[in-house]
Amino acid sequence: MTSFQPVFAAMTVELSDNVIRALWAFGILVVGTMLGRILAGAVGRVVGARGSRQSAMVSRRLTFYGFLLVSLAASLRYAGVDPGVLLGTAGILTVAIGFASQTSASNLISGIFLLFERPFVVGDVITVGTTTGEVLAVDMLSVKLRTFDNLYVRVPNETLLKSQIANISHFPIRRVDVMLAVGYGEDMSEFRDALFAVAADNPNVLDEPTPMAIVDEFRESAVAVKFSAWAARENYLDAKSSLLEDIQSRIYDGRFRSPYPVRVMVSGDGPPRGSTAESPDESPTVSDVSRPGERDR
Amino acid sequence: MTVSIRLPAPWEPADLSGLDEFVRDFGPLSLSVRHGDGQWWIKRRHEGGGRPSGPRPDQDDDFVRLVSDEATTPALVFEPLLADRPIVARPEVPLGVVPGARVKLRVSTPLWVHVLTASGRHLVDMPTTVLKDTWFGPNTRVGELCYAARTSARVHLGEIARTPARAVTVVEIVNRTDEPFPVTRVKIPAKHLDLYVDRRGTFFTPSIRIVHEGSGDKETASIDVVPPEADGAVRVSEAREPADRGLFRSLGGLLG
Repeated sequence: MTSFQPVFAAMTVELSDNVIRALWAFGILVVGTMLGRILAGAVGRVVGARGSRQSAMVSRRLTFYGFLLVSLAASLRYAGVDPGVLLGTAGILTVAIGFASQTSASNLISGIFLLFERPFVVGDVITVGTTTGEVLAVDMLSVKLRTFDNLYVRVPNETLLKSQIANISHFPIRRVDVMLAVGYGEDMSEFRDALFAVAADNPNVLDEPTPMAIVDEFRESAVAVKFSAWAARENYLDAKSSLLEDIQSRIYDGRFRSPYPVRVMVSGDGPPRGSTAESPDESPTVSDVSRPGERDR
Repeated sequence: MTVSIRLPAPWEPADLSGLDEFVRDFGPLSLSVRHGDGQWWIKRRHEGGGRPSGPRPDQDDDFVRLVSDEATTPALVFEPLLADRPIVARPEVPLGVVPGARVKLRVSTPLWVHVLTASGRHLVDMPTTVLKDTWFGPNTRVGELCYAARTSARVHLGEIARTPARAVTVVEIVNRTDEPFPVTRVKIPAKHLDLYVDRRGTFFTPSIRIVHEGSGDKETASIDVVPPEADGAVRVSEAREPADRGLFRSLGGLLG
């Protein structure tokens, strides 16, 4: 019994030393993490004051993760763990992890390409697929968007790299396109002049580039006209809404009527009563024109 | 503020003592001011009802209420300023400059009213005429937002109506080519120009000189001195942004 006491005492001392070492190593990691956060915040503020929100975010992340890695390495070394052993172990697991993390690796590499290519930066408004929103962050694996109805959307970087992205806020001005219809027989030049007058009176529509009114196509009951005017990026929605309001109140409620769909119906019994047509093939008179909603004879 | 002379009407300081409401016109702009208990109520109305770009306001008039930490003294100072953006002036009738000619065109642009308290605190800064926004640049990707204006581009100063709410800029265009040079628009770099007033109360800016040397936008531009026709001109306000070396390079795109 007595012979075990020195061994037991030695084991107790060794266990105490290991626990103390582990606690110290954990303390180094915690302190290193806290220092990393503080330093990353300071770097982010300095870079943000001189550059963009995107640069500040990238600098902050690089600083924090760099400091974290250094703290982890120091912590492991103090704990007596040889990092070389870890690397060896990691090598064995690499094949298995590689297959499992293909998507993550792809997102990570896509994120690096996006950072260099910069199709958008933090603060821009982009459309990806059916989602439109403000870019909140460009992270390692994904981009975070805030939609205009305040939803938080996470888009994987791989998706962004493979998809068509529309950066709505890249250029300072945007074109507002409005499709209109004018009845056959109306004075097209008068219609066009009325549209230009509406644009001239609208403070959100830019004087230049000058607005355009183009006859787009002949439809069944009306002539389609595409009216385009330019607005500053930040006034785009106000310009579009106010233009449509003004067109409705000053054009379609005034000189011009909004054209209705027209249907001409001819019965199989020959020309309508009162018609001067000698055969069923001749066009019927206006009184024979049937409009949607009216009962047929 | 660098006013050291007596400004012409309607720019002289105002004494609001005993007045419930103070009203003054600056060209098309009608300014109405009430004060008391450390607050200022300022209402503006533009003849013709024009309004700046942005969301449509609920009210027709533009009304602002300002609260101060000092008792309002019954006095206001009005500082004339040039626009806070460049102004693109389009001649009412398209014109061209004959080959080898050096011409001077007079372009007048509206002034801005900078309202300050007697102690020099800024209250409001507003245009006397509401101008539409426009884009000036080689394409829709590169350029800048400016104000749009129409000009008669007079050759003689006497042909321009002298109004207290507008400033005259002499634009000298030199055509060193063998072909007529069409001038469809001129960009006045208003925010980089100082403002002067002559003995007769007419506001002037330094002249702008543009030399056209060939096709492909080969123009050089520079800001010159106040024109000699501004007799006894004294500077009344400094440029909103000082002109630097980069400006002279970018001034090359003043004509369209």
